[in-house]
Amino acid sequence: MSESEYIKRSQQGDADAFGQLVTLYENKILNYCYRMLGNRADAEDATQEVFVKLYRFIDSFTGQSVFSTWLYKIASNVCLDLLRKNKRHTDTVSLHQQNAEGEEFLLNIEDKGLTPYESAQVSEAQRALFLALEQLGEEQRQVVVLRDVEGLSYEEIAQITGTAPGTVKSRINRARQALKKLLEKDRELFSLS
Amino acid sequence: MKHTCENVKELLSLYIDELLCDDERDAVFAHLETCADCRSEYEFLSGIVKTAKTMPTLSVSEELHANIMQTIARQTKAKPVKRRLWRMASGFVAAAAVIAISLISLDSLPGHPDLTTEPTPKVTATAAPVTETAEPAEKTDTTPVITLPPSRPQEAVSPTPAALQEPVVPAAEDIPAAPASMAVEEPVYTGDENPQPEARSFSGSRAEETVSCYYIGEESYEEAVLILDAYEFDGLAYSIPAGEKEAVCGKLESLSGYVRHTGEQSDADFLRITLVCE
Repeated sequence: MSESEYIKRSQQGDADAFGQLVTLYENKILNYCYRMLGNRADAEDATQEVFVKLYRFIDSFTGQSVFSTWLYKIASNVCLDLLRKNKRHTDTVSLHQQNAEGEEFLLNIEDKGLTPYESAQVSEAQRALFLALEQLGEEQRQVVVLRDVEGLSYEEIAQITGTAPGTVKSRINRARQALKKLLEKDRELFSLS
Repeated sequence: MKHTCENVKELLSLYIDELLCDDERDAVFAHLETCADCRSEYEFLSGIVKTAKTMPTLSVSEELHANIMQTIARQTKAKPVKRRLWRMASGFVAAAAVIAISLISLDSLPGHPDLTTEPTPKVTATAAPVTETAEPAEKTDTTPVITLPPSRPQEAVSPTPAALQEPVVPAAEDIPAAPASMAVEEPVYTGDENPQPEARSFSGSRAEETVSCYYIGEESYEEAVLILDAYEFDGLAYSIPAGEKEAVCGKLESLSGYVRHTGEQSDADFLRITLVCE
């Protein structure tokens, strides 16, 4: 059965069809929320809320927009609301630390209990990027996540964020510049050669 | 076409995304071949983008999936709403709007990100467009929405006392006497029955509008400044350029924005407003 079939049946009240939609998208949404919110517990709460909202408002989906774009939009709203509500400022934890003798060492994230990912197979670069993402402003984080992590097009991002494509271009550019600055000390982790 | 290093660095983002036109792309390419500094920047940025593309992913646990499905089983769906609500007589703003306000008092929310429960302050219920409907049994309020009185300079519409005391349930109730100049086009539905909306409507679509809000309960807010900064249509959000709000209102079917109320509640609390325009 196609996605549009599931949507139609969900609108007619078919709970199984809606369950299929959840299964189709729950991982994507969980990961998007995770990258926006920075911790798994919040991401799971947000994911649940996204699908509850989807269920409540699925009848208002007319098919004029792409379903996944619409769903990302809902997820963005949920995440941004949560971020604004909590107004939490991520503690800036530099990966570069000094010990008592003034020697520099690279902070192992596990020391702070900040394991962003469950798998141990996370590279230094990925850890550094994850931390840097959390230090970006919400809107910059959103466009970088949507573009580089979720792989969406500029047009889709424009629809999700409710801005013009030109704004998306400049926002992505500024976000990437900000990431470069945050990651300057770890430059060698990222350079291709 | 030659570029300075500064130009090229600005273009690297679009270059990596392959969104430059051929001429620009060739120019950047040529510059990168000869400039080690810019090439280093390019490799750094490329490396970041590549790393982002391959971030490890989480998987939804069976428990989470089950929780999602159970929570959904307790919900009831919002019925599709009739979009046309109020028609204002001439003399008012051409784009009529009804505002239903969902009170989200963020501080008083439990940790659960469910935005439909609202312990205090209570608000009048109204049949707002695209609202939540009957809540699970353990929640006491249904959609805590209010409609605002119209923001008209000549007269203030005082809220019907009865409306203020009605429980927060979109039960079937008559529309309190609407001002003579307003005619209700169609009732707005929130649930399975056809509850009548609370009476007061708000017209106007300016970026900032001062309106009066009335709430059931201990606290009442004298004024709220309506800030429209974004809206949703068909589930997609758009931002509203300041000069276009009235024009936009004529085309849209729903708006949502934030109200920061200037009353005694702290400014950190926001109300979500859903505007429906003709």
